[in-house]
Amino acid sequence: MANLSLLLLQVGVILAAARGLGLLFRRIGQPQVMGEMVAGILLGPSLLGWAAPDVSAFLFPPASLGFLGSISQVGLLVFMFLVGLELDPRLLRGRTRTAVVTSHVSIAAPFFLGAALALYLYPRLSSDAVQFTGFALFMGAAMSVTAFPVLARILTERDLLRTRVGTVTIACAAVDDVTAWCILAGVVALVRSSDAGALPLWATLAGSAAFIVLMVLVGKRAFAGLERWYVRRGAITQDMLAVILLVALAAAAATELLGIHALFGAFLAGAVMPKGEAFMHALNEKLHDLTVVLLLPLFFAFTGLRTHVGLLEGGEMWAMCALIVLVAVVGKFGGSALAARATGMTWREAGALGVLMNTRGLMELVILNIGLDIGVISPALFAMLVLMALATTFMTSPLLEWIYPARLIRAAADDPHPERVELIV
Amino acid sequence: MKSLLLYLALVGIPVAALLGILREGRGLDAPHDVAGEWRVEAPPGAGAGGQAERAPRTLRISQSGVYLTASVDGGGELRGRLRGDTLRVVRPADEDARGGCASAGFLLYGIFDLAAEPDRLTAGVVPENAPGCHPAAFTAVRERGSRRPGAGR
Repeated sequence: MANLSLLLLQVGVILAAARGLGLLFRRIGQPQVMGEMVAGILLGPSLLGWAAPDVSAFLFPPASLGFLGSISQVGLLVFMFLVGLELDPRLLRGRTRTAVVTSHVSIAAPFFLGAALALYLYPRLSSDAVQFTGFALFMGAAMSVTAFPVLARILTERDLLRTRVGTVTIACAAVDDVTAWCILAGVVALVRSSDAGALPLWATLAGSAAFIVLMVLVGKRAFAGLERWYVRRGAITQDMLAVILLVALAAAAATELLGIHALFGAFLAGAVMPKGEAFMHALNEKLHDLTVVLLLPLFFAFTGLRTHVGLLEGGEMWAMCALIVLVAVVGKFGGSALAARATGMTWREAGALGVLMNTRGLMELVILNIGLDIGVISPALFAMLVLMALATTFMTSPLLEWIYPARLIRAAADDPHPERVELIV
Repeated sequence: MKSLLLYLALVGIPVAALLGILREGRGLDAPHDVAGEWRVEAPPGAGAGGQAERAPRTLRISQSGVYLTASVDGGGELRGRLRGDTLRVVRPADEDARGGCASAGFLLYGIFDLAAEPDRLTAGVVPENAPGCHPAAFTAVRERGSRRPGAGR
């Protein structure tokens, strides 16, 4: 009972802090999720644990974090399912070439720079328990991710989806998401394959490839029946929702057993769900609010409780942190903008696309938590990368306003050519 | 055709360079993995005056490369560094130093035999600015299963 009381208290404090800071950040022109992420960090050892250690020890004793972590993981599974659900091939319609080129360059450039940075960081922030290949590939993946959900929200709030920049960006982010998660799955498989008792790498890769093919070819066809069921009933019934959640959980369990992390399976299950607009809306409506309002802040808090900014002591470590932020921005912003310019956008449009693609948001936190869980990054490097995620997300709104101000968005939105894209995130 | 060339240039070159980085990086040495729970074995001088009193009973080390955070006997986190096969962790003296040797500052040093027994630490505690307190030597063994995940090599 004492455990339940504590858990309820923890959830209440987290929820209040997340909503409060979320609203505050919205007032200063930031996406609400930015405030929720910061709230998580502030509840951890970086602020609460440092300023009021007794309160922190009472509220978040280490022994209690297992419950919180488990709930946040379930929430994250549902959230990743929703992110997968959002991926709609129609986003690429008429933009495939630009989206694929820009997206792949926007991954390749930061990935390369992240791996190059690993040459410097590996002897300083890693240990011989981690192989360089896994470390470098993870650094590359961490540098190249884009926050599709945050991006979608920014584009919607700024009415950018009626402009060419907005439609190309969301298409790029969709391709980015799929590519980055495939890369991450490979990295996780590589790192985990060296653990005692783990499946050999070839078995993980072959099993994962077979599972993906099964989901895309067989699963997709089978899940189309869900949409027909929905059309017959005119609503997502509780039975239908249970079936959909079972599919997501089974896919998550399968990829976890295969050694490429449960989140990948949940994402894949969402990606192969039927993409009829009414069905997607109805399903999203059932799951979205509880996940985003209650469960995601728990994940942010759990991340914050693992983020110890105090580990960054002295100029040397802060210099490393600044270098990580710099490399992340140069790689993602520079790579995306260069590719967008090369595919025919103006410099201003290309710059705006680069700024948007540079948003790491909570997807970065998801990836970093996986990295910490499998031991490929150390606690101090985790803290540095979390700061990088916050910095790149925070800089998006002001930089976008500077490069692509509202008056230009209004003018571009009057352009009849871009096709309007609807998003439900 | 133009798109294909563009793609090959902007994606192909970084990917090729990445392969070079991975090859180059395999030659790099990272610090020895020391993270985990360390069980202190009976110090050589157990029962002989100050030695046994000063030697810690448990040692927990969190590691970020060469940067260490250590907790001695479940106490607060102390900062230290790893240089090659040697670790150094410093505990400053308590502000209220009336607790005698227990509140004195100390230097905890340790040496790993990386080739023969990487999970064994030969260590010592040296009180600093505490004339009445004696140094103590001890050995510690890393508990099985306390290495951080991913440390399976």
